[in-house]
Amino acid sequence: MYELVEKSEVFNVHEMVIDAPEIAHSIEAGQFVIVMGSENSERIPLTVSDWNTDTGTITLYVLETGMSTLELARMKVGDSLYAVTGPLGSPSEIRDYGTVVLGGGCYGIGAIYPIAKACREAGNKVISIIEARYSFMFYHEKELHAACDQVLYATSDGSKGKKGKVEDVITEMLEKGVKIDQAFFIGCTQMLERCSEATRPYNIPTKVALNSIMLDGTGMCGACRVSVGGETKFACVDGPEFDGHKVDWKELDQRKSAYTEQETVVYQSYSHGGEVPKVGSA
Amino acid sequence: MELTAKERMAIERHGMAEQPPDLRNRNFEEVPYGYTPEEAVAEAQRCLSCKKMPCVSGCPVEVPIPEFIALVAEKKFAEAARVIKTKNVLPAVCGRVCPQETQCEGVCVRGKKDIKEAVAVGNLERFVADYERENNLAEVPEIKNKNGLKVAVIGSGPSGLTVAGDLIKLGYEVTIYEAFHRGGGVLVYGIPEFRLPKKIVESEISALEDLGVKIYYNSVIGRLHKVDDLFNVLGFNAVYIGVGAGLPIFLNIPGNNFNGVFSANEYLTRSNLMKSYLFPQYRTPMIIGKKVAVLGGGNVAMDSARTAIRLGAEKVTIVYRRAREQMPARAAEAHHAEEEKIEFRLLSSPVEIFGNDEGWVTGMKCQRYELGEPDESGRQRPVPIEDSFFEFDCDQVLVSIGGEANPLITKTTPDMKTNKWGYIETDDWGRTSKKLVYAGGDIVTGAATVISAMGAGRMAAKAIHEDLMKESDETVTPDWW
Amino acid sequence: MAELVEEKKIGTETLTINGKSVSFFSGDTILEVARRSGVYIPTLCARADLPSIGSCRLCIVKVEGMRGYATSCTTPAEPNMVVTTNSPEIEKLRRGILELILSEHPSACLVCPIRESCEKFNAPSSKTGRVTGCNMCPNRDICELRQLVEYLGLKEIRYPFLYKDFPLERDDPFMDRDYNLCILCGRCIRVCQENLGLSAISFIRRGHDTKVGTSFEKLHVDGNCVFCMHCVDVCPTGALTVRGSKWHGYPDSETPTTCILCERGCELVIDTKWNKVMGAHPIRDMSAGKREYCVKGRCCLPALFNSPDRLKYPSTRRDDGKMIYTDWDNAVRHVSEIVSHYSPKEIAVLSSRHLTDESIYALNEFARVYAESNIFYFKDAEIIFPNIEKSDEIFKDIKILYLTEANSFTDETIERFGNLENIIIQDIYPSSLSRSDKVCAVFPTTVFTEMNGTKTCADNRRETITKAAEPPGNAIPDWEITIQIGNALDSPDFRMRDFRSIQSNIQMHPWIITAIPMVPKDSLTYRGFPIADFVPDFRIFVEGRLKSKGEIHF
Repeated sequence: MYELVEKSEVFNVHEMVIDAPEIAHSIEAGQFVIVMGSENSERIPLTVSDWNTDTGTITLYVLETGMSTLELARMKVGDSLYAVTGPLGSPSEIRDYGTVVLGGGCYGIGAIYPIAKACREAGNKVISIIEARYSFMFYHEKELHAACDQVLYATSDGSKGKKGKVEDVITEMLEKGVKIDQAFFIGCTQMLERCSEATRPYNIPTKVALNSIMLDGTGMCGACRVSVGGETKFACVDGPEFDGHKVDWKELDQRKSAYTEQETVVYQSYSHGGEVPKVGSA
Repeated sequence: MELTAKERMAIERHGMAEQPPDLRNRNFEEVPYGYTPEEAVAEAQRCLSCKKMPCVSGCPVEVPIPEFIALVAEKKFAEAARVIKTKNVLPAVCGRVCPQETQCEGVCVRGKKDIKEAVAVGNLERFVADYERENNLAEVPEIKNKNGLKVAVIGSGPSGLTVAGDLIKLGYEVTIYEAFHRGGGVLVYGIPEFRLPKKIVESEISALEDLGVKIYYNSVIGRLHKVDDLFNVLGFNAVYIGVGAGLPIFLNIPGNNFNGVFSANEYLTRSNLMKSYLFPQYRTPMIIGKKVAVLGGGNVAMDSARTAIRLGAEKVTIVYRRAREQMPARAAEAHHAEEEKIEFRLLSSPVEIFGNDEGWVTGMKCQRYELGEPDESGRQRPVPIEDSFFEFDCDQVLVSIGGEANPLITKTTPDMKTNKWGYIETDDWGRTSKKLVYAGGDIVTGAATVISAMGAGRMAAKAIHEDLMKESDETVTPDWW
Repeated sequence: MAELVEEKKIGTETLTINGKSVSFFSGDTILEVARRSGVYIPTLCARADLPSIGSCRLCIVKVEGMRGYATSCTTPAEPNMVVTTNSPEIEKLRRGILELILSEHPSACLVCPIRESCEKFNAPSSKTGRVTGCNMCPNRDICELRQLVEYLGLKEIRYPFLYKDFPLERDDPFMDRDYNLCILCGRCIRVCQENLGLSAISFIRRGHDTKVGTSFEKLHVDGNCVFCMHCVDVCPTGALTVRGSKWHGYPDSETPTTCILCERGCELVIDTKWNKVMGAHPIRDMSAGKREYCVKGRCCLPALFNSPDRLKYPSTRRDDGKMIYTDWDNAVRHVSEIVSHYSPKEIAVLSSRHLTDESIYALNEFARVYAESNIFYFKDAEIIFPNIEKSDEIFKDIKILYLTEANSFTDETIERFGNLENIIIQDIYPSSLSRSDKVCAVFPTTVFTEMNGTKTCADNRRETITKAAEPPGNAIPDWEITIQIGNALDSPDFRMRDFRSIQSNIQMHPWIITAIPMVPKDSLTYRGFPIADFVPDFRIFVEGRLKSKGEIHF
């Protein structure tokens, strides 16, 4: 179960194709899975970026950004993950909005793909805007082009598309008077905040996929709670998508960094050899 | 030699030897060591074998208590375990976590004057179950021939395991869907190791697997499969929902989302299921507070407080709105907590949680309460005292004030009725408004006990069997056709 | 990064730098003269503690009468030279040089308009594998490239960025390498070859593929590398990092102290954050010092000292035989009560060789007053009583042991004490012996990063030890426990009252310290505990060295 059937890396983003036929059959755009690499692992939420009901596989784009993702990044084809739970979260709300803009950065480049596909199928005009530091850091582009009417780029060094970030492209579009009926953003918290601020003056309905710390992913623990419009919501069941204009970004940021100390200390005894020093021997 | 009633009356109740508080409050090993066989026999001899048997009716699953105790007195421990197991599939668990003082022991004739004089039914149940398990004396129960009917059980907590155990013996093909990566539900994520060692739950589950129960882990029903899919796509003939309440409540006060405010569910799941007390060997981190406030007075509050002290908290205080007498926690748990130097701040409740600029809890503003008129539950209602605010210094707040119904399944099963709080409506036998869908445990009753969930599971198993047998004439084609 | 501060010397010759007359010695380079006279010249490849090669060219200066610009790190100072280190033209050239260097180093973050808010958000940097920008770089807070970008006011990099796309190298113990960040300054190679004479690494491959590596691109653990990490210390970028201590960002404090894992007693700076040891490194200015640090002190301390298994609270055995946690007052009272039942010849004290001078002295005083000077230590699993000639006879007399290195005991060694009744353990970790039913008390004590004191090291150097981190739970230093018990036993002969009284006595009786020999360099343990049990990479290192070299050289 949960065998890793394909794996590749594009600049710290690891494409992991995992054998999980039941999930592949039931997942919808915008949903995620909770993954444990090994029996000792943390449970971490990862957006599912693609799936194939024929092969019974799901595709995750895993950004290495801590111990849990490091352990996933070091797995090899043929290894099996200890647990993949899902699909979790409410699917994206897909209907015919008119023109939909999707913004993605980091793992979000992969994560917006299923939403783009679903929006297109629902009759929308779909424009994707993806950002990276450099042109060579984009991935999943061919698929994205196939699923969108237009793909726009933003790079920090200007090597592809606009020099800047997703919000710079959006702002330019809005200033030019392009009509946007719905925006979706997936990426790091900071990018989500910036993009939401860019659409706010134009009152563009904006959905952001929040990735707060989770444990069970079924609404049982409340670890993932976020404040949206002054109300406490659970990202795992009420989300992951929320109105970007109503999210309390500062609180989300603080809650996500609650374990910085432990996340750092855990590297001290890490060994690439896989040995974990035993604890609690006394 | 048969003892006379007088001789039996003369024997004093045996407590279990325990890890001393000042040792156990730093480790996660189980607190009571359990009876020795001699202690068990002596305790069993205290039972008067009265005709009325109030204990049996006091038990939600009607374990034939005098019968098994008589066998213990005769040192027939394995037989005693078998007698319990006719009614209760998890005696090692129930002996540890049942609130016996309000059930079997609460109505024991010997406890009429003083509850502390009742026969220690729970301790004896625990003893025989442990004896049977540790000596590998468990008998493989008789399993009827497969009847070709498939039942899906959602959730591997106490009620789900009961349903699965009962139905597999009746010849059903039983599949459990568990959301977590480990089975046992609240027994593994909620109840701490020091109260219920996980190896006991594991052995109960592997015993069920040996009987042929299939368990699919990491399977969240409502997401992975909808209840209707279980019938239509996966071909189940009946579905039992035993998913627990599963939605934590936070106080509706400012400061709820500061770092350091945890639901008891999260705190206990991190520690119990994810073993974060073994961090970094186990990768799930835990925030270890110095001054911990635990809100609530139930078993979960006691478990959270006792976990906090074991993780290294300097001071743990239970902040509870009512008085000590109204605490819903099992008497033994509150007592153990007190022994472990956990403080009680009664008749108090926070009105605000304070935090610093980095978003971490720094303290609470609390209000004092007094007891007023009894409410519908018969408990005196706590009434806030005006202008009685005080500040409470803490850096971690564990919220353990109960839960609500998790809507994951009910939302995706719209043709199944729920009550106004979102709990599933059933008849006395666990039948929901949806045909061949049954439910039991906390998702029906709201937060309750392990044994009442097992009782509900037992009833539902009977109902499933009855209903499917009625139906099977029409739905199941015999093999020989 | 701080430059090497040398004493200002009056040289014999003079030249003019930026219009100021400066003296120098013949053989000095212009850079050396400038540094000594307080004139800053930006450098990347040059360091005062490394031989210069003039490869980065950032240190260019204008020398009157010379054509073009001279690299100040390699140009010898000459009498009456007129040097200009700074002008708009030189700055412009330097900016151009830096731009070229940065065109092969992922540096988009450096000139990103939202850098500040992004870095605040990612503080410390996100723990990534492949670094593609500053916000994920472990070296961000001490990056020399960034300092230069700021110094030169670089706002834009005009060249297209060329990513080298080398695979990450993280299969060695302790060390992560990402040569995509490397700017080929060659500092690592120079420190390894010239300063340490190890030549574990050199430039390999050609042209755009040029990188630093081992011969045949073997793993470092299979080559000449001893994991002294001096290459990491001199690297101006995040290309080379120590895996276990790379993500804490700038530490809360840096405390110079002495590593006492062996007799060498190396000076070491401890990085502390969250009151924990996060890393250890040489004094930054001295990182290219001529002798290599060993992997034990450089890489193993955080995992060795922060293990959650550390003993945290004193515990004593109750009358019913159960060990219970207790406070220090009760624990000391309990133990002194037990010790008082024995005559001095029935008591023996084990001194760990890893103890500080104060702790050894306190133990020795305890042994002198209460144990007929029965103090012993372990050497190669052998018990040695330095004060007693025929130690074999002593074993049957001893009824109570006071141990500061319990894990060195095996079942056989403990059996040699035929009439043993009680054991007092004072240690940092639980050991198999601490479960013995003879143990009457277990005292948690501190490691050397959690205490102040001194340690006599090789060549009779007495080095200072400074507290850098908080001990776990209620652990206190060894000497403190010993004098508490000593004083509770209440002999007027026991004269140690506090740290100061021990220290003044050590100065009078230094031979008491040297009676307990120092820990040899090749020790694989700390206080009897195998370092590899707490630091898995150390096991890989030891096994790798034994396989490739047949021996381990620290």
